[in-house]
Amino acid sequence: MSRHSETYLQGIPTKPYDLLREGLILLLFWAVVIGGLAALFGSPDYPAVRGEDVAQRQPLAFLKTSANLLAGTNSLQGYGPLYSPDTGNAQRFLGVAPADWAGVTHPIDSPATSSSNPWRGWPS
Amino acid sequence: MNLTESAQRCLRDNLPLEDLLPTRMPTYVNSLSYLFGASALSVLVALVVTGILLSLFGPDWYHGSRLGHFVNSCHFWGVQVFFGTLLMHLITKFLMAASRDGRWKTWAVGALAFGIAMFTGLTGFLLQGNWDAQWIALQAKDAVNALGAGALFNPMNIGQVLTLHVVVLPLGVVALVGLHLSCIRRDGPVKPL
Repeated sequence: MSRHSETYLQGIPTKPYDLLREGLILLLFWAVVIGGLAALFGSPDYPAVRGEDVAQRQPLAFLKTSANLLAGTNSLQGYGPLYSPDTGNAQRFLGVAPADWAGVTHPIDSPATSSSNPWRGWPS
Repeated sequence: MNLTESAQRCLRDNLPLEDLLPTRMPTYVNSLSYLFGASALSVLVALVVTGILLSLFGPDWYHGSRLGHFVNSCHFWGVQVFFGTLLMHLITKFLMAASRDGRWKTWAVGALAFGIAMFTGLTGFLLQGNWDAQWIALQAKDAVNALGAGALFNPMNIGQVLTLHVVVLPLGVVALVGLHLSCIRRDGPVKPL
């Protein structure tokens, strides 16, 4: 035993123990539980939503948002750092906006990303 | 100074084979409360195995394959069981005041491993490639940006999230769990109150 545990456990009665056997039994038990839960309940998988889907299913809403984006009046465009330079809108924590310190590190071209790019590939 | 000799001496003094793989245990180790930590470790093994399978076939595999969906579901439920057993481990050890007798290091390393495991869980949910992942990424970015960490970690950057989830964070969790286990085996199980 290590010097530390030898001193700590001095005079304490012990019993036989098999660490690896206990570990394997536990692994098998939890594998069966997890496999059973997976087979019974599966996992959530609601499909991702793409700009194209919105354009096809809600064309008017998409056009309205696109017009706002192209006019530069959509609220997403004024999010602030890290995506746009509007420092006044940066996320704050206890009144401090640490995102301002790094500035715009992930610039997002909202009109292209959310409006014009989803139209590409559509039949003209 | 011979580094190899020092490492040998350190291992011999702190973690000999009798402690690393014990064949005897104090008789007071006879309660279910001692099982939650070992359970969390077993589930971590299951998470690593299912995670390797998922990473072999890529994050989109499970959307179009029944086997892939089952493996993903095992990984998903493994995470729920992992945090459930981890929470029980935390509560029982707190009630046993298990940080007594110089075991604060074990607690500190365990708490750090718990924190990194939670961040690993977040990156896993971001990797689902579905509506849930989109929603979580867009909500999480505000919190990350408010804390000033947005320039380092972008929840909407799938490449960064993938490498963090399958390489960097699991290595961190496994290393810290290894250190946590070494502390436990070196000190022995804490005596009952």
